[in-house]
Amino acid sequence: MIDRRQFLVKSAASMSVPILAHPLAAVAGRDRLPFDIVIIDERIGSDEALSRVARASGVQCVSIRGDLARLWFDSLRGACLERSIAIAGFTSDLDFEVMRAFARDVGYRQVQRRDIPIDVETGRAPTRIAAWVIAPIRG
Amino acid sequence: MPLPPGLSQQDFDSAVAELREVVGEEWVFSSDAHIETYRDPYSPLQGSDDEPIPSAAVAPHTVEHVQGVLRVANDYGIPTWAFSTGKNFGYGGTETRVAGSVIIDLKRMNRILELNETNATAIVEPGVSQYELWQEIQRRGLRLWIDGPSPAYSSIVAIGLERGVGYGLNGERYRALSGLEVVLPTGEVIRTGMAALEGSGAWAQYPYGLGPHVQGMFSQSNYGIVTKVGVRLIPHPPAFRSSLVIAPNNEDIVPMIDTLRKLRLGGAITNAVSLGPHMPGMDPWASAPIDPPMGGFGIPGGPGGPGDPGRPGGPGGPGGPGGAGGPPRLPGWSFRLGLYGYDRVVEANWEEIQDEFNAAIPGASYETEKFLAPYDGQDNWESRHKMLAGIPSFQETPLWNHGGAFISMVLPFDGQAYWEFREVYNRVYQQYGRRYIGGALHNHSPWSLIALGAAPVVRDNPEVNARSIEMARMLIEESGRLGYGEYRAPTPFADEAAAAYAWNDHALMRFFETLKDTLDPNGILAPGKSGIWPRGYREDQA
Repeated sequence: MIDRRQFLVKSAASMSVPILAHPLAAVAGRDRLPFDIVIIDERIGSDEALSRVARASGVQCVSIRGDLARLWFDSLRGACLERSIAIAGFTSDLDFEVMRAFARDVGYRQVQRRDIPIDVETGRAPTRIAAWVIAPIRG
Repeated sequence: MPLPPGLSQQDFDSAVAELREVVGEEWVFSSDAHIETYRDPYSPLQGSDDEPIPSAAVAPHTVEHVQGVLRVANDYGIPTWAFSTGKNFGYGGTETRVAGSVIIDLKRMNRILELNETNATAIVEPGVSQYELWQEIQRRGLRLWIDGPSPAYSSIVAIGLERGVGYGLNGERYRALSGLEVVLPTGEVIRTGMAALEGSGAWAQYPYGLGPHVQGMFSQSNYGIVTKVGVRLIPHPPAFRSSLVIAPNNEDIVPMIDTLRKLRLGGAITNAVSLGPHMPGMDPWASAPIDPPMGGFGIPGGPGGPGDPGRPGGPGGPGGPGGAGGPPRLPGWSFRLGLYGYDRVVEANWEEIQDEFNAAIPGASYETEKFLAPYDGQDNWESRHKMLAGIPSFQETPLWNHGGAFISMVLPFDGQAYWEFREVYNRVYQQYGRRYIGGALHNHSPWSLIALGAAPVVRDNPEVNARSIEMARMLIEESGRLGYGEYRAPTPFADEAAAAYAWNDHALMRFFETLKDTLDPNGILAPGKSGIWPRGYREDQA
């Protein structure tokens, strides 16, 4: 079990594909993230360092609270239809499954996912958090 | 990806080419990457040899496209599976019954064709979500609520056709539908009810028209693809009171149900309420499918977590005050209640309701808030008020683990009947090493209750999922012994759920099959939906 402060470190380190490792690499000195939008559920905990780097490198960092669907309808869907973008997220397992269905509607798909057990310090049950990336389907 | 049954690769390629001619190159999907997106994440069959993975998907934009797709399917004998948006989580989502089926994804048919504030009606296509209809109502500044927005991203047509649950005045979402346009499996297009008149002036007002009422044939069925629907909306009432009714003890569920029945039948309560275990700080709706059914047990964190009354040491768990034998002892029950209408009537009803519950349940308590029209601040209401009013909302999703397939039994609106039913459910859950917490109890109408259970689905754990399938089948069988059946079944359990309706040696299913064979002679539309198989499949299974 890890706590929320360790979450992003753990998630990045555990990814077999380097794309989600980039946030921490960026924290260490890189100046560019390989996605256009990063979404973090604030119940999991936002990583201030990641947010700072995201802002510095021009990546939009969005905080949600279990309401990814609203974000989708209000802005993400339009952004996905307007141009090809990659979106990374650190959300509940549940929010991500909904996101996968939304992604299908606009020709996007999950290109990376890692489930991570985490103590979200809510006094509730341990849960699994999804670290994920969606991007347009090629071909 | 699998091919449609009995089709060669060459014929499949030809069929795909014809589908591309019908809907356009970019709207036929057959790559592995695309097909992967159509797998249901909450299927207990996921990853098993029995998972019915589709062969391709097609996204028509018009009725003519739908007709063209069905023509190709008939020509090649390809099974198809249509859905509106495919977000029916917990009941099957995008999952088909036959591996190699071609998905008909109606997401592009998302036009709002009519929206009438005076009559409180709309005519929409199946790809319109409740939230999109709401956005359009807001854009036009209309004083309308949608009712039952659960969840907000679901198709307003599909949740009606699947007879899903609402929380506001209409309750049963099917009752909001009036007049369908349907493409039959043969490609013929019909309209039902008043929609069958040329230039219908009352499409969404009266669902029956003249003659047999056939609209219901296209609900939970595989008899046609619905392409337009009239929808009844809710005009803003002068006053709206949103309340939480809390009973403090485990046993209070019996008088709570019985008192609620009295008030529902008597007309003091008009909304479709959902009861659930009362967890302080948590809404009883969290045990309802307001969002994807992660856990499905109504407990934060899912079974076994700190919020789980059935956990070891918890109020209903081993070593806890409820003991390990019977159903968990819950820390009370609660439900949300909406009152709508003229202010003085709302207030009078609220007084009567409190009197009734105070008399039946010592220690009953309440949280309540009243709103008066015009509801200019409704966008900022908390989700619990929006749900009752009929405003699509994206309530905070719980941090639940994994998912579930719902088992939803129709019971009489009777407290003792539920108490006894709960014992049976708990016995089956325990047989599989799980505990039945109590789930949610939905109240479609003043005459019935729907008791919700869930078979847990854990990604990448076929062993757990296989046990869940066994458990679900046992729940259906045991419920059948009590004379209860499902109102709606997850796709993988459709056969078992349908088989429970067995009176007179399954005469009802034979009737369904007769209709199926007549309307869909090649058996190409959603074979196996609701347990209804076309003749060819029945002969293969025999």
